[in-house]
Amino acid sequence: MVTVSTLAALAVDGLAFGASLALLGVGITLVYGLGEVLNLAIGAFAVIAAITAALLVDGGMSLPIAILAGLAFVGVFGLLVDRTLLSLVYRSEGEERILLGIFTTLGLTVLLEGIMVNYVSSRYSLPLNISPIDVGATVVTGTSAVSIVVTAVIIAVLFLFLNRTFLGKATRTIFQDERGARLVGIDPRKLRTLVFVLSAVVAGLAGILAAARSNVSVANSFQFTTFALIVSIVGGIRSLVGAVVAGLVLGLINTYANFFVGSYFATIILFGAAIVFLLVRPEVMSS
Amino acid sequence: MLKAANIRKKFGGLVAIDGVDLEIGRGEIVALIGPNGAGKTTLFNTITGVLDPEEDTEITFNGEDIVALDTHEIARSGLLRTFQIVRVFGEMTVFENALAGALFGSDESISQEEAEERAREALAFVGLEEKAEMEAGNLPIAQQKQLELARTVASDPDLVLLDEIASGLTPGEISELSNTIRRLRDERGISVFWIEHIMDAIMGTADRIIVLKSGRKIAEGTPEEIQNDEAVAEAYLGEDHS
Amino acid sequence: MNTDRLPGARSLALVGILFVIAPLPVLGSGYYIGVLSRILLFALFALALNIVFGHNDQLFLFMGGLGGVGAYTTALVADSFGVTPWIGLPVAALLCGVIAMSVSWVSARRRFTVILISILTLNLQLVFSEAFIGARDLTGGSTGFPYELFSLSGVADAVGVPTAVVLYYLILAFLLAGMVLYLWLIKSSRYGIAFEAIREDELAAESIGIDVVRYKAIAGFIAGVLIAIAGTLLAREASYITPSIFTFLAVDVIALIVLIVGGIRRTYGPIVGAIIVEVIEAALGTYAANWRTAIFGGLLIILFLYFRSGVIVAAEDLLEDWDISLGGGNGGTPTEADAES
Ligand SMILES: Nc1ncnc2c1ncn2[C@@H]1O[C@H](COP(=O)(O)OP(=O)(O)OP(=O)(O)O)[C@@H](O)[C@H]1O
Ligand SMILES: [Mg+2]
Repeated sequence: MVTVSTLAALAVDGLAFGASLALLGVGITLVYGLGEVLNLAIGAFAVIAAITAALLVDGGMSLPIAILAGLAFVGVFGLLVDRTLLSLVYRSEGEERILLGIFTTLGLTVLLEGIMVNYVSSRYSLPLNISPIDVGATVVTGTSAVSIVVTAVIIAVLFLFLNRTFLGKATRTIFQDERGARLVGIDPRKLRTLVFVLSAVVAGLAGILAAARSNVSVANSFQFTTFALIVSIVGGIRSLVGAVVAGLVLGLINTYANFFVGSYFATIILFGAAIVFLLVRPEVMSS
Repeated sequence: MLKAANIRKKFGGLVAIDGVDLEIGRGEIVALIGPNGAGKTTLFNTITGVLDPEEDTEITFNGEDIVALDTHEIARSGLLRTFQIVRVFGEMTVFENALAGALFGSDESISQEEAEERAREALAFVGLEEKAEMEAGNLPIAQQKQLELARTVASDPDLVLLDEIASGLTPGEISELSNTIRRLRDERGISVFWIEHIMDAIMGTADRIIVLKSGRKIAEGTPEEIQNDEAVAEAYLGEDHS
Repeated sequence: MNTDRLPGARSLALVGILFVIAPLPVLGSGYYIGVLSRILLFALFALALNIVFGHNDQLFLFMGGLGGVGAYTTALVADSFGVTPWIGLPVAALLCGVIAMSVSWVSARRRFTVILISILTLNLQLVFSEAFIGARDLTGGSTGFPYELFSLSGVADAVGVPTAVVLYYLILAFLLAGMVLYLWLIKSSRYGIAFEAIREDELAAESIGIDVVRYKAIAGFIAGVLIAIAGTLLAREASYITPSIFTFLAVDVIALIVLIVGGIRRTYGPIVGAIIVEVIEAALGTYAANWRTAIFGGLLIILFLYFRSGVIVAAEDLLEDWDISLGGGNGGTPTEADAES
């Protein structure tokens, strides 16, 4: 018999996993919404941030500083990718650009994985060392709780940025109407750079949280990418709110399925959900 | 041959076609005119199944209900069309374009040899036989339009819908085209339903003219009747039509 | 007269003969035979992709998964019904054909863009990959099982050559059959014209009477069959089947690179591309095996950004710029020259 407290603990773990999914989904959604590049390298960004932070901790740096450094590193790396590869992709338009974006970021993820396995081939974790928290009869792992809180804060900040600041409003304008944005004097290319860096950092955070909960290796990059993809399919590739909700729901479903029917089947359920959504509502993936 | 009653098509709140009735008889050349945005192209798209019409629309072709049919099925039943913005297969040769029309445009299964014969014949009909081996995308637009016509002719249709096939042509080319369209009927027995802005092209050619405005049929009659129709004159006045 | 019915038959015969004699100098070397076999295998995958993506705009990104379904099915059918894998293989090919056909049919019905199909099939790929590992009772999980079907060693002993050589010729037979199918389909049947019309302009194709959904489904079916055969032979080449043979990175990425390197929609693109890619791979294997993945990743980026029409075409363009003509003129494949006559 499964007790209520087990179910509750699972819910917290599920939300924590869902928080990472939500961040990944937001990362992919931001970039696609703004420039129609489906960033299939997003999982590699998550892994880069996590491994950087873990290596710095190994080198003696304090955990919070190392995490910030990992995020900064992946942000700078994102900037580099945007100025080089994506500049080439943005030269083309429409369906051509989408296809080119898929292939270049796919190539990038393969390239990054191929480079990283040569230097950082073990599994890396970032234990937060927070003791479990008792909530009534339920024991919640500290790391899960922190994951949820941190994600909630970051997403709240992101939404505030998009809704309240000039830059954010400009970003949302392009989301809806690129030509209109140009007319009021916004340079879409600059905003795309900003948003790409932002998405790299958000993905990096997802990777760091994953490393905090268990561990992360180079081989996880493509897995993270596929998670991000599933979230954006289920939530709608242009909807940030959709990505957050889909991430949390899929995290819960996956964690429960993991517990009750096993991990392979749980993963298949995730992909199956994406396939069903694609077939039922293909329009969410198109512009 | 083509009979339609109460054709209606909405785009969201916009009623693009608002209850149009029409009939095209065998061997007739009927022109469809009207100001920009009147719904002419939309009417063609609805008839050919590219767009699904609203509920109570009735369209029959040779007695068969075609409302529920797919575009390719309608084409195979002998109702072919050309496009306002020309859509030849640019990377194929001129001959292959016509061959595609011959191979797929009719319901009977025809042999490769027979299809090639029909394609050659169709190209000769519009005067493109010299260009057969050229890549279609390299033809000037006027000839691409002729090729589109040849592609429909190759399938031996009963009725062709032509969407502004004369636009962008020189006066000389226009009279040649009008001539080709008359031959379409006289030599091949193909009926024609023809959207055109250029009055010179249709006046001496069309048996009958239908005038569309804001999705409604506002007049119908012989070219002379339409020329003297007040409602038509009014429809075009103020509308800056080209 | 016979060659008239199949344009390019003569060039294909020539290519076939080249591949028949290719292993003779290296009969004793398992390594070189392996390289040659992999060239043929990836040419076969790329051939399937050329039909369904090149000529039909349906980007299949589940070739690995589909190939795996084919390989496991061949073995499982043979095993559970106690029949020869020569019965298992057609069953598997039919199954994969039907799976691919359904994907194509649904995508075409729902008017999926090429991007949507790629995302849909990528998800299917991941489902298959996960299922291969998870369905331990059937697949042996990630440890897999020995895969030595088709009793090739018997033939090998009788002829007095290594088993790998027999396998090479078996793969060659399938590839040549695939090429004959391709030549007939694309170059001389009405399917070729229908595919080309659909690829260039779906609406125009429909409006001249082409049943777009049907032709896309047919292309999907053919690709599915070829992929199932390639997958089965890929496992046979490894003599051992594991899920890692059929991952997205191991099959789809390589097949995509092969097709683009060789030149999309070119008759011999898959073969030329497979030779180039496998030679690179073999060279890396000796000097920098660890950098294999990285180099293919970089290759994918560069190919798509700069050489989308294939390196052959790019090289020809370059030569043309320098005003050097390549004997035969404007550098069409032998097939195209044949088709004229
Ligand atoms: N796919 C569509 N979605 C929404 N609105 C459409 C669509 N196609 C046409 N319309 C609208 O329907 C109306 C009729 O357009 P249509 O193209 O049929 O006009 P037309 O008579 O062919 O004009 P023209 O002479 O300029 O070709 C226009 O207001 C147009 O904007
Ligand atoms: Mg129009």
